[in-house]
Amino acid sequence: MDLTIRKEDLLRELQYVQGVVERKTTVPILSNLLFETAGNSLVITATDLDVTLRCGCRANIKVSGAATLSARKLFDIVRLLPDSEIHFKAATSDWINLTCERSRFKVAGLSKENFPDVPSVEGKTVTLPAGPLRYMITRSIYAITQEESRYTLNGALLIVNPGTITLVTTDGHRLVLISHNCEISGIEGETRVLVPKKTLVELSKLAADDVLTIEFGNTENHLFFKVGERLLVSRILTGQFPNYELVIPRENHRELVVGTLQIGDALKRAAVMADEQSRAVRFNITENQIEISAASSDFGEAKETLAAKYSSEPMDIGFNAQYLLDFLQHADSEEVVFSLRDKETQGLLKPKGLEDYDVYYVVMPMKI
Amino acid sequence: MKIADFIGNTRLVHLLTRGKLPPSTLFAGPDGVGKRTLALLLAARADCRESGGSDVCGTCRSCQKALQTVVAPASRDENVALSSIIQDHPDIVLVRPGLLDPAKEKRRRKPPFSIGIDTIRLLDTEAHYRPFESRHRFFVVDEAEKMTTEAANSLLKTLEEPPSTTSIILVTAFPQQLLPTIRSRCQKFVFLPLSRAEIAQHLTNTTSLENCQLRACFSNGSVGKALELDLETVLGERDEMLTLLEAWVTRPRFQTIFERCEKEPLRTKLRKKIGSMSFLDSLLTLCHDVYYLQVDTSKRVVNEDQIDRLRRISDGLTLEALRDLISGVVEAQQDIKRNVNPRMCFETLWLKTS
Repeated sequence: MDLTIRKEDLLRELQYVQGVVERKTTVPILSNLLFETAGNSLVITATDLDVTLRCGCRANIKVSGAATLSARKLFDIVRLLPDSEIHFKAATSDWINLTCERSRFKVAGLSKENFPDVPSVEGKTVTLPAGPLRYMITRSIYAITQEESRYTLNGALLIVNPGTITLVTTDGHRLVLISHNCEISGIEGETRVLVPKKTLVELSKLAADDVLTIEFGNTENHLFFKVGERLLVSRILTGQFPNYELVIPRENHRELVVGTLQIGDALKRAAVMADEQSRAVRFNITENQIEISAASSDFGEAKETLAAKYSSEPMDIGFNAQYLLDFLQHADSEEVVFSLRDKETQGLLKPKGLEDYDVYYVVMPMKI
Repeated sequence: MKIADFIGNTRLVHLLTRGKLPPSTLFAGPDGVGKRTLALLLAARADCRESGGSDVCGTCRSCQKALQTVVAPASRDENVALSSIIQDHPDIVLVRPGLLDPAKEKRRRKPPFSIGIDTIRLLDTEAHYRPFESRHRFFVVDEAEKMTTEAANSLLKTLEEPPSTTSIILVTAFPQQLLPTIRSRCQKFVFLPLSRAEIAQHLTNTTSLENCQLRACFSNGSVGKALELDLETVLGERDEMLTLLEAWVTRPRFQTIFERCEKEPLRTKLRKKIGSMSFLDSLLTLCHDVYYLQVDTSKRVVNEDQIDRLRRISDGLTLEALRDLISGVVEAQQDIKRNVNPRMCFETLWLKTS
C-alpha cells in the first residue's frame, strides 16, 4: 500500500468512524480500522460488530493494498498533523509508515486477515428522506429501554410503507410512535425491522444537514443505510417487538388541552417534591383547571395549579413526572393534548397542530 | 486441526457430527479430553464456508479465525490469556473465568476464578443478535461450573430458548456443581476418559515428548494431563512410595514409616498440604494397582513398568490389609483437605492398617 491523502479529507472520515470503534478490548482487532484501496479512493471500515461503518475518501493511490491501524492512535496523529498531504506506505509485516511534511510515524497494525468480513450488501434498496428520518430518531430515541436484558426493546421498530415511515420505541412503561407521510419509491408492501439503538445514534449523525436521502435495505442478518458515500451496516435484533397497536388506547374520550411550556414548568417544579424513586405526581383535573401535586414523606409537598381546556367530569390520575417531561421536551408544539379515560387506563399524549408528523405518546398511569 | 483428527470418544463425535446440535448443550466429562476443543471445532464446522458442513476446511477465512480460538488461551498473549471473553471469529465466542476488560483491570486485582454476571449479561445480549458473517452463532462457556449463582441464573432465560441462529454449549468437568435449573435446560453429552493406547498414539503423533506410553499410563485418560505431566517428579514420588510400600510389606511396623518420614524428601514435602497430597495420590494409585493384580485384572495397572515389584508386594499383603490401606489413604486425603496436619495423617494411616 502506498498512497497520499489530504489531511482534512482523512480527518473528516476518521471523525465519523471514531464513534463506531469498539471501546472494550474483548476483540482486539475491533479497536482497529481497516484501510483498503479501491480505484482512486481509500476505503475506511470500522466495526464493533453491532454497527459497521464504511467511508471512502479520495486519495492518490500508487500501490494498492490493505492494512489495519489502531483507530485511536491514528485519530490522535492525524488531528495534530499540519494541513497538508499525508503519505501512507506499507512497511514490512503489518507496519505502516506515515509521513506528513516533516513528521514521520511508524504505526503497528494487526493482520488484516483477522478483521471481520464486512457483510455484503445486496438486493433492493428504498430511498428514505434524510431530514424526516433524523427528526423521527431524535424525537423517539429517549423512550428506548435502558435495561440491556430486554433485548427486543433495545431498539426501535422501523416500519416502511409506500406512503409512510413509522418509528416505534418503548421501554414497557411508555411508548412513542411517530410517523411521517411521504412518497417512498422502490417499495412494495411493508418492511418491518428492529433497529438497534446504537445504529440510530450513528444514523442520525450521518444524516447531517447536507444529506437529502438515505438508501435503506436489509438482508437476512443485516440492515444497511447508504448515506452519500458512506455505508452503515447494522445487525438485526432478533425477537418479537411488542404489539404496539394494542397499547395505543382508542376509547379515551376525556380530552385535556394544555400549553406545553406551562405544564412542563409546572411539572418540573412539582417533581422536586416527588418521591425520588417513583417520580410520581398526581393530576387533579377539574373543569378548565389542573392541579399537579407531589408529596414525599421525607421532604414535604408541592402543588401547582394551571389553566387548561377540559370539559368532562373531574378526575384524578398519577403519572411519572420524568416520563411526561421527556415527551414535553420533544413535543415541538405550543399545546399538547392528553386523552384520558380513567385513572387505571394509559394516557395518550399528542402534540397539537404538528403538521408533518403523527406523534403518539402512550404512558402508563401510576397508582397513588 | 480438524474434527477427523479428534482423539477418542469416537461414538460421541459421530453422534454430534451427524446432525444439527441442539440449541443448548452441556459437554460433561473429565478435564483434558477435548470437550472445549470439540465444542469449538463443531462451531467452526457449522460456519465453515468451503466444506459444506462435513468438517472444518481449515483454510477459509471463517475457519482461520475460528481455529485461533481453539489454541489453549493460556498460551496466548497476556490480554487474551486473562480475558473472560475470547472472540477471534465474530460469531464464535469462548466464555471462561477471567477479566472482562483485562487491559484496564489487571493492575487492580487478581483474575477472578469465577465467571461473573457482567460476562454472562454480555453473552445474553450478544446471543440475541443475528450472526455477523456466518450462518450461526456459537457461545462456548468453558468451566461452566465456575459461573456464580447470579451469573447462572441470568443465563437461564436465554439458555431455555436461544434464538434460532444461536447455540450455547456449556463445558464442564463437574456437571453436578451446576445449578439443577441449568442442567435441566441442556442436552447433556458425556465424554469418557481416553484409553491409554489412544493417548499414547496421540502423544507420539503430535509431540516430540519421550516416554509417551508411561505418560499415557499416568494420565487418567486425559490428554491434557498427559501433556502437562512432570514425569520426573511423578516417577520420583511414585518410586519413593513404592519403596515405602515394599518396606512396609516386609516389616509392617510404625518404625519403618517413621524412619522414612524423617528422611528427605518426605521430611520437607510432608510439611505442605500439596506435597503430601501428591504423595498420597501416588500411593493410592499403587494400592489400586496391587488390588488389580490380586483380582487378576492386570491390564488396568497404571504402573506397568514396575509390575514385578508390585507383584511381590501383592504376594505379601492380604486383601483385607489392602482394603484397610486404601480406605486409610482416602481418609487421610480427606483429613488433609480439612487442614489436619499432613504428616500426622500420613503416618497414622499406616497404623489403621496393621
